[in-house]
Amino acid sequence: MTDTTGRGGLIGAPAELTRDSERMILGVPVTTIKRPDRLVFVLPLVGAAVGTATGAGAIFQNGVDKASVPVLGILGLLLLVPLVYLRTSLGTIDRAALALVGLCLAGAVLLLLLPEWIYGFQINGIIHHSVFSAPLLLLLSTAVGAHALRSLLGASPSGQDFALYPWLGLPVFLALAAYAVLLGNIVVSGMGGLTLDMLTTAYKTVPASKGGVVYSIGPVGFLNNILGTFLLMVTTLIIAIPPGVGAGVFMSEYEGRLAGLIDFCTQMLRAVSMFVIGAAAFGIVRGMNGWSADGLLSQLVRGSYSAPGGTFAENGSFLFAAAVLALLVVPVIAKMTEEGLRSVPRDIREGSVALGATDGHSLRRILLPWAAPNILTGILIAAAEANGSLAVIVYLAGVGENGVGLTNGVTSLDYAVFATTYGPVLYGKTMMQYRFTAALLLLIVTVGLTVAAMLIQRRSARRYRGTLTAS
Amino acid sequence: MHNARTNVMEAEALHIAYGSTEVLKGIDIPIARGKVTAVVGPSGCGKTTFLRSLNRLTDLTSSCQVTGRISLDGEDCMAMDPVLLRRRVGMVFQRPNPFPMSIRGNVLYGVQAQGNGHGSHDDIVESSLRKAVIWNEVKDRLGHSALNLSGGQQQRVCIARTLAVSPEVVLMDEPAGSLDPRSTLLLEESILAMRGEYTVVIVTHDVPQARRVSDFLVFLYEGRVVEFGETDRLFRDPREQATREYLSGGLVTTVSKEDGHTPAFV
Repeated sequence: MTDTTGRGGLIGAPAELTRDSERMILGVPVTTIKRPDRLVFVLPLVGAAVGTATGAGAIFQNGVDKASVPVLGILGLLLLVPLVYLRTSLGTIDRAALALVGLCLAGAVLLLLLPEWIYGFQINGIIHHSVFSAPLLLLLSTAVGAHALRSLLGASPSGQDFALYPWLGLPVFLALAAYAVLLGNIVVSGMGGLTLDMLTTAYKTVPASKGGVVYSIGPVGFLNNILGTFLLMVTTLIIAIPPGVGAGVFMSEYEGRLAGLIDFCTQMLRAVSMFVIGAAAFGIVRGMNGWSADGLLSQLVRGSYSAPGGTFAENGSFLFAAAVLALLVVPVIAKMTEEGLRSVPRDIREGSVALGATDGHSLRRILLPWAAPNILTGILIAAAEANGSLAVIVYLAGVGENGVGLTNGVTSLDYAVFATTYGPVLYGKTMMQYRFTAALLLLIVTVGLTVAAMLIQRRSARRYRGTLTAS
Repeated sequence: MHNARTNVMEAEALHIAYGSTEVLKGIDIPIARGKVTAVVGPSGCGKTTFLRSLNRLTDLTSSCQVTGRISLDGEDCMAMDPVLLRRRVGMVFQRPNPFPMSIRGNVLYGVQAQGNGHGSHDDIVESSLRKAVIWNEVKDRLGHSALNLSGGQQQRVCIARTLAVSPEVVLMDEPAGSLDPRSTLLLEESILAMRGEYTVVIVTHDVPQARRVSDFLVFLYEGRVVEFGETDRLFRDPREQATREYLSGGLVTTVSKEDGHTPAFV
């Protein structure tokens, strides 16, 4: 048989001349469609993009949901165009497209029938129409988009791979959209309060002279919270790094019962809820009730501040809070150290041993440098955790009006975010309006830390394992 | 340290087993001082295990049990501190394993590991790299990372690294196993240059290579020494039929009389 369509394809060619994979992709002989004909699939692709945007919009705005029925209907109709075109000009039926058209139209009808609010699905529950329309739109748009893309690219092997992108992109797109909305909200709401004044002033309550009111508000700002965050982080790391790295070395290099015990202990520490540890720490502070605020142990554990009338104890010092946080992050550092050491190639390990190096020398010169990127990652994760462990800090912290130092009462940005809403009444009264500013500051510190972590990690990986010049 | 013994190392009645699998079944091999001894045999015959037992790298494998006697200058190696033993018996591995540091750092690693870390040691660096036949290629970039070198160059840096600590014996575990023909040739050149000053034990699959570089040849088969002797003699006039078959590139179909069994395939 010869080519009767005049379009240069293999339509009508004997089956043995075309490979199965080329002949039929989801029911449509795509390789047989010439490029100009494939362009009809641009229409459903555009429809899919609009459908995805509508679906994503409906998640956040109920108003967008009103467009879901027409968009879904139009999506079906747009896919109908290539279907009809291929049927009339080439005489082939794209079965996958046919099924998708059916699904789109059925979906549109279903959404049309559903009321805007659905009552009684759960006790006291009200479900909005968009709960159904958003996922339906996203899924069908992705399916139509993937199919259109595959057809558009002629179902070549790389085209088939490319057609997976809509499916891979959907969750990423959703996650990014959610992040954008959440973080955008913080940035927009917090920007207003982000003035130089707020960064360089420490919050302070001052005694009031008027009768009845004991204290009134003095300067307002986040200076001590910012300084406190860094002090807490640095102190925590200084306390946690030696035992963390040591435990990691032990777990990796010395097999045996003791290493197993250390491994078990570090795992257990990870499993304990931070609130339990925070409550236990607070128990220690409460146990010191009645101790002199001047005493050394009280200073170290509880912290203190001076005020007219003497020295008074705080609820927990920076040093004590850092020690408690160190308990939490030692397992992180230990685990990362262990992983780093285990990743040292056996060749290199044996190379060092065969040169008559002692275990200590191998560890210092070969193993620890090799593990350095992992250890650094562990330390930076630990720093992030020290920044974000409100569960511990909330028991011990104050608003930080009495200064920042190892034996001062602990405070941090983390706590400020909490306290602007749920903290002391007096503090909340003035600082409530800055709650997003506190969150924004914490966000900036955290993002900065993460970026620094990535840069350091990349550089140290090249430095210690790669080909960076090292004299 | 140097005495009049002609054999710098001796393995006697050496048995090595990994768990219940016996790899070496009682072998006696003398290592002649200042000579190159090649160990050949098919895969799995135990030659690498033998080599690793000479500097007690077998200690690193917990399932590995070594019985019998290995001596270095008459001293029992099993009774020595393994770190001190490895300072006298160096090793070059099958795959080039330079440390992720500069070429100079690699060459001086062993020197520093043995507690002589002070000073620049430029003389040691140069003489070691010269012996390994790589000085001219790297003399202008001693501070560059050794990882930027080609595989053949890396392997010769590893040899220089081993020679830098002046070991009495250098063990080589198929050192040309992952190298191209030209690099192999340069490697063999450096082995020949080491003869006399160092004692070399080299394990290889490559029978022609063993013929080119070695003074003595050990043919190891299924954990036993089939034949040992001067390389020339073994190639010219082997006593065992199995040796003749293996060295001429064929399959081994017979083994020595005292062994009493005939394997089907290598």
